[in-house]
Amino acid sequence: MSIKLTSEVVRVAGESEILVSIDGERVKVEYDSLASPRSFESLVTGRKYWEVPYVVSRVCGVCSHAHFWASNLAIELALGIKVDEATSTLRDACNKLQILQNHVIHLGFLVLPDYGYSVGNDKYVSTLLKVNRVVNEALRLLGGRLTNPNVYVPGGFTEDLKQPVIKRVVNLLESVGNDLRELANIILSIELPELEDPSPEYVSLRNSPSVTVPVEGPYIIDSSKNTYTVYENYREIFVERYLDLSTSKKCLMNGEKVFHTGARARLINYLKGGSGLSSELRYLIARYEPLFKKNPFSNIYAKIIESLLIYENLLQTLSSLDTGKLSRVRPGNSFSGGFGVGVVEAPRGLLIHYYELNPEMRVIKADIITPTVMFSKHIEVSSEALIKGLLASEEGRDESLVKRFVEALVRAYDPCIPCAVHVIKMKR
Amino acid sequence: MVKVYVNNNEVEVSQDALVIDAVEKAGYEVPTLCYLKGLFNEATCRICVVKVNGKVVPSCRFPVFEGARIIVDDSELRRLRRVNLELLLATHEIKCWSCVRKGMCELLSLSKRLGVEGIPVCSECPLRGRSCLVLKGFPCLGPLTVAGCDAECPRRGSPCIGCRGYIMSEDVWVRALEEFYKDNVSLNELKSLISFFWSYLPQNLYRLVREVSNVEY
Ligand code: SF4
Ligand code: SF4
Ligand code: FES
Repeated sequence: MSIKLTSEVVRVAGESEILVSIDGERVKVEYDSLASPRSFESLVTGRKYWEVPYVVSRVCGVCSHAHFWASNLAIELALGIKVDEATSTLRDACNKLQILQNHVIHLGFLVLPDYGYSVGNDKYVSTLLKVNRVVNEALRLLGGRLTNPNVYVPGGFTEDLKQPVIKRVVNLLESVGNDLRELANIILSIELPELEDPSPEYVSLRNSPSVTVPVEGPYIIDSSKNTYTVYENYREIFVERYLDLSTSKKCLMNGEKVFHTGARARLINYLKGGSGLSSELRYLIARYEPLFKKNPFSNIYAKIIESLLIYENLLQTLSSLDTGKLSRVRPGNSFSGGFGVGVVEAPRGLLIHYYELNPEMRVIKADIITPTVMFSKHIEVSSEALIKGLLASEEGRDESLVKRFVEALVRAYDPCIPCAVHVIKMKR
Repeated sequence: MVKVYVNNNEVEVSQDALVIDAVEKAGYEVPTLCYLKGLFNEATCRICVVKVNGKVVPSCRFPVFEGARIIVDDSELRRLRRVNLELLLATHEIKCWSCVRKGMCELLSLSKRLGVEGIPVCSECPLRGRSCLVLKGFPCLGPLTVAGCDAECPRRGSPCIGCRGYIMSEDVWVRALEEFYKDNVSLNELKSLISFFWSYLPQNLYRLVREVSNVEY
């Protein structure tokens, strides 16, 4: 049998495509970006340091906070600024809120329909919209403008956040606890397709998702077998390649290992050391851990469990946050140039920003590695494994079934929200 | 009493009433600017135009008559109101960053209501005055950006980066550049920020920026 499946998948900006070719025993999957170059790295070149976060937060609408903080972090390190603890707690909270929002929307609107849930079901859609609304409001209160945050510059917050604002955010969050649990029950009752992860390498920042935006570098990154201290050496660890004449980049660990990053990786690594979890959540993670390690489809379980974890964690940290301790640090006058690296956990996994500044505090070099680039090779290898498995069974005879499974698998990774909503086209 | 028709609804008003009285009695509203009920109705701004028997008239000045057919709103009237407001703005010295009215500005609310883009973000900004970011050395684009977002960014201490687009009026740019920015912020930084959303600035405005700063952009 020889089949070619392609799907033109559109991302927040630009398009991407998944191409499957089956030729007898040989299965090949390519996940490619068709986007025209967006050149964010050159857009910020020449800009003053404080403009950079505003520009790069526009890389992506669904994880603008992650880009915002990663760039702030990198620039602070370049300038030698150290922010206080309250500030880093608060920016971590904003990033978590966006992870929570991203997970809920992705699971509700993109994943559940794959498993027979109809988006026309009023009750469940209104639950989703309610959670989304609440998170939006909380983000607006803490992070400023929706989508592209504005209340933060390298060195600290631009406004004085008052204690009642934090209180409001906590109250807002408390109002959706039950909705989140309801959603968790639905997601965790889904029966996942069988699949053995062909490349069980999971990479995440240490202590994430408890802390998604660390205070400063160097960053400790855990993988399944190793621990890396990442700073200027990030290029040696996360090696980007142009593979197979493709136009998009693929990222390999140490230049050779295909790896996964994101909710599943975070939870697997979290169990190794993470503390401060309620016993209920610890139990939940431990219970699903074997599945997380085995089946790439379980990323959707990981996302909902992570949402519960983040939710619990947000309530804890915000309730004890003292905004009186927020301060803003300004860069000193004597700066002779330098570089900084910012690593944060974005909704989809590790995100790395690098900037080099000249003595005028203008960017002379910029580099961004996004999580979708990191795990897109993992999408390919697990899609191949999935198709091979299907072909070996009766189900493989049914092309539309193969298509449906591949689509569901790609969606489970959540490569980028609009990316996964597109349908695979068949090519013969 | 006379009988008139406002958008086809019959209303009765006293003989010496004005068209605007009939409109209000019928439950409609016309935007006004110069009119002050009982005090001033010289009809100088022409924002309140309506159609009476097909003719465009200022409702704050025009008297009613038996059987008058009044149209309060249509696309032509909306266009005329906008043009009249634009003409007013063209002769108004717009320097919202130092205006004493502190946001209580009828021109601003009218611009928002009629969709006219001539008043800058500073008009809505609570930092205006001593807390203004420009006075602290930040190149905030508030003075050059079309109002309407309620100064979302400066309100929270973050400079306006011009996402709503620039004001077209050259006068506003000249005043902002020469009277406001020049002594307070680095014009190089200002230019860099301007190129963020407005990389295709029209030639005339582009030239202005170049003239004041003497640096290529
Ligand atoms: S902070 Fe910006 S928007 Fe506000 S008054 Fe100053 S220049 Fe205008
Ligand atoms: S950047 Fe946009 S939202 Fe912010 S103040 Fe300026 S116009 Fe308003
Ligand atoms: S309100 Fe100014 S002409 Fe009527």
